[in-house]
Amino acid sequence: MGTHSLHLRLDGFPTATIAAALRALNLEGVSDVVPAESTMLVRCEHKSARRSVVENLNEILSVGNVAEREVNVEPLEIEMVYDGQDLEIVATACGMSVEEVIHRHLSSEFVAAFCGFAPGFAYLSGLDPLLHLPRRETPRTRVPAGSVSIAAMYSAVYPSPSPGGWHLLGTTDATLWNVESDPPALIEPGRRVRFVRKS
Amino acid sequence: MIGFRIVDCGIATSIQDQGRPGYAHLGLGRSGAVDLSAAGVLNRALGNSEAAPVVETAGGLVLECVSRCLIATSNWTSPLLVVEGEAVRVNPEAGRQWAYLAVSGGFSGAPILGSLSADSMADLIAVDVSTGAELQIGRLAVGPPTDLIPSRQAHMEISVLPGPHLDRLGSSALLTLTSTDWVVENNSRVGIRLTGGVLELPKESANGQSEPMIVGAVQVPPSGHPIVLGRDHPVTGGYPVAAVVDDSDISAALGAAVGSTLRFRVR
Repeated sequence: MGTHSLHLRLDGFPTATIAAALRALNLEGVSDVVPAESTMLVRCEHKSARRSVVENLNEILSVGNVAEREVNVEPLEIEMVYDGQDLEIVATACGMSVEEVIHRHLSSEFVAAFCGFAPGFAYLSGLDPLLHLPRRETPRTRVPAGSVSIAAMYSAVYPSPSPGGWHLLGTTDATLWNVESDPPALIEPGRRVRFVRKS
Repeated sequence: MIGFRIVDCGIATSIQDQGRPGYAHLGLGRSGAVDLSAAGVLNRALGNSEAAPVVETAGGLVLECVSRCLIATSNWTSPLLVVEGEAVRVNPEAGRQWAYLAVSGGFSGAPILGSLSADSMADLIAVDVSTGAELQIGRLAVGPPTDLIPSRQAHMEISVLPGPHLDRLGSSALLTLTSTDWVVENNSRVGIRLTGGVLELPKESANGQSEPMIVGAVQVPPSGHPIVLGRDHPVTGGYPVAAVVDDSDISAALGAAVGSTLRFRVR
């Protein structure tokens, strides 16, 4: 894609895991490795960087290797309160009680599939299939930072105030984005995440 | 050392360097000067490193010199000595959206994640450039001056490479893209919107999965009016990409002023 960069279709492979493995090699001339839902972008500054990416990807994509890398650290626990404006709407749309929505969200095992939309905004896959809903028809013009939300097959926490069309389930005090930290994002692609109810 | 005081901050003024690579996977794009080649040339003319921070503005910027120094602007690329109390005005050349001011030694400040670039998408501002603010000068000079900014016209030929989603856009998309004189309708650091033609977008192709995006990508939204992604583009997007501007022409394309025309040709 573009002059030297690579846009790769990785159907069936965990894009975040592969991107992390490639990024860890710190290849000369590779400035960004960006996973998305089923594709990945490798931004290369010159032709020889692209060649070394292709060579190293063969190694990374060998099946045994990918499976090994999938074994992950303990999930990150994010404490939250279920006080979202859309709890009732979600419960009605899914045909269940508010308590059951909360229970299903709490027992979903999430993995950060990729980041986008805003700095530190991680698309968390693994949402209970009974909670999959389309986005709101009219997005809100402002969603506060720390809002825990769901839409389609994902859950996410808004790292900073922004417009947003996702359904709001609750709030967290966790800091999702801080440019003084390294890395600046609390949730990196590939990270496992669980929500914990704050009493 | 304080170099300048801002008398009028003008339009969309910010400090820019070559941006902050390495954070796109966390949702933070690269940013950096829209017209990187112009910023690089001004820096070289002053003996700075190409990466030295410069002031970028869409016009109306007025500064007052506080400490005498050598500057170069896109209106006057040769090094120019300005002295205490002297006013410096920075406006884009005809046909260009952005103007630059470079200073010998580069502008300085406390970098955010390794860069002084303000990012309009991520809401990052490392250096205050509002009216009344003072700009610090650093010590980034490295060598003797060299070359000049390439001249640019109001009508430009821009090299592109075929994009990854031509299958979704239909066989005539590339032909339409390369046989239309596209008019720049709107220009910001996030991207430029083009009119003058319509790229038909099959209904089922309008919304795809989120995919990683890159500067220079020519996206086709449902309106059929293409968008060329700028330095502060969102790191992922769902519209199909018909083509990607070649690296060598990205600065020229993104710097085109509203009303100027672009003609794409496949490299």
